[in-house]
Amino acid sequence: MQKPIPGPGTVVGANVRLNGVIKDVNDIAVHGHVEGEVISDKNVLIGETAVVKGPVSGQIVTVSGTIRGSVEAHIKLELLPTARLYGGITTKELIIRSGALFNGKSAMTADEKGEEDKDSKSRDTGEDQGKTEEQPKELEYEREA
Amino acid sequence: MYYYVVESVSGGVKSREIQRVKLLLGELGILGEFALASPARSVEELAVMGLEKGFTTIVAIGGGRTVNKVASAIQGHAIAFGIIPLAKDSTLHTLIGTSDIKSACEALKFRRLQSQNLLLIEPNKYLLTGASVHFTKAYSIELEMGEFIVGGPTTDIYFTNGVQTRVLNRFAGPNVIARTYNWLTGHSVPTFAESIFHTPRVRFVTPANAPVIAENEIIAKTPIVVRVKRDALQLIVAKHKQF
Repeated sequence: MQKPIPGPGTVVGANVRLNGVIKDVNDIAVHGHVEGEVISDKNVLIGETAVVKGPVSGQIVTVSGTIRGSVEAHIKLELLPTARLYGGITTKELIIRSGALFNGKSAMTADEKGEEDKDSKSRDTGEDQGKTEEQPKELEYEREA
Repeated sequence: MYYYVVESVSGGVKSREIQRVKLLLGELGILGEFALASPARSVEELAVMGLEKGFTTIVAIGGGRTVNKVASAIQGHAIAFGIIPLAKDSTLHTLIGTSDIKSACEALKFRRLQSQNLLLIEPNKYLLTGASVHFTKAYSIELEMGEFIVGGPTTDIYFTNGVQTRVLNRFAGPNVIARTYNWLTGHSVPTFAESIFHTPRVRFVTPANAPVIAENEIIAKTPIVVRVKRDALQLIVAKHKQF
């Protein structure tokens, strides 16, 4: 697999069709059509004219276009009013604006430090005896404005 | 041990500029051997001669074409490469962090070295400046960039030695009526017509036979493979240049 190149960021223009894996250590903005993975070490913006068929991953993911695939936002996922998301999401913080469409499962991951504190408290109080691993909270949405 | 390569000079203005460069270099105490290109000896041949003579600093005097030719000939060798751009508004000044001939000569004196990437149009065209492809109307292109393929209607493609490829469609966006309406109502609608990618290798597949241009000169025709050769040169830059 190719090593990502440092630079000011990747932009996929509105007139562009892209097939394959886009990976960047900086921000990625998609305004065109992408069939494949979109992976950034920083933030990802899926613009209003964008259509992405494949998984999207980044620190903060902001969506105002269409995604057919899973989204993993390590910090925050925001679905703006024009967003159309068909697929599962994993994030710590989720914002869905009025008008956005989201069909899929969401898994909310808690802060690691918070989890550790919670685990140690559970051990101290003797709660969760016999549990080997804590499962993330799972919510299911199906709404259309 | 400075060796200066000068593209063939025509016209009094350029001759005067070269005389001025010689004066400035003399004042700075770095006046070396001058090699002037002619129909009998090309810029590349002169640069190779400089290498063979054992010079530790080879300097190109002129515009982007001269600079690219010298860079092509000496890339990969452990010597310092200097530039004296003759045009005041040359992008070469931005590259080396100078503003005019005088500051470019002073930069040579201080010899601050910076590793410089070169753009390589395979098999053997090395460029310090970028290259580009232009169409008069939007053509459907195909660029293979490592793990992905880019396609779509495009008018301009720019390759830089900073591993950046810019793909642009000048005609993207709303039609004439919508553009006029937006202009009259003062609306600004972003078209997002430009794409920017960072990959070390690009294969330009279609359309075929499109001219590839560097410094207003056709240097190749598509299909081409464009790569970045990292740290191919030790470029002399201005003392104060920020990175």
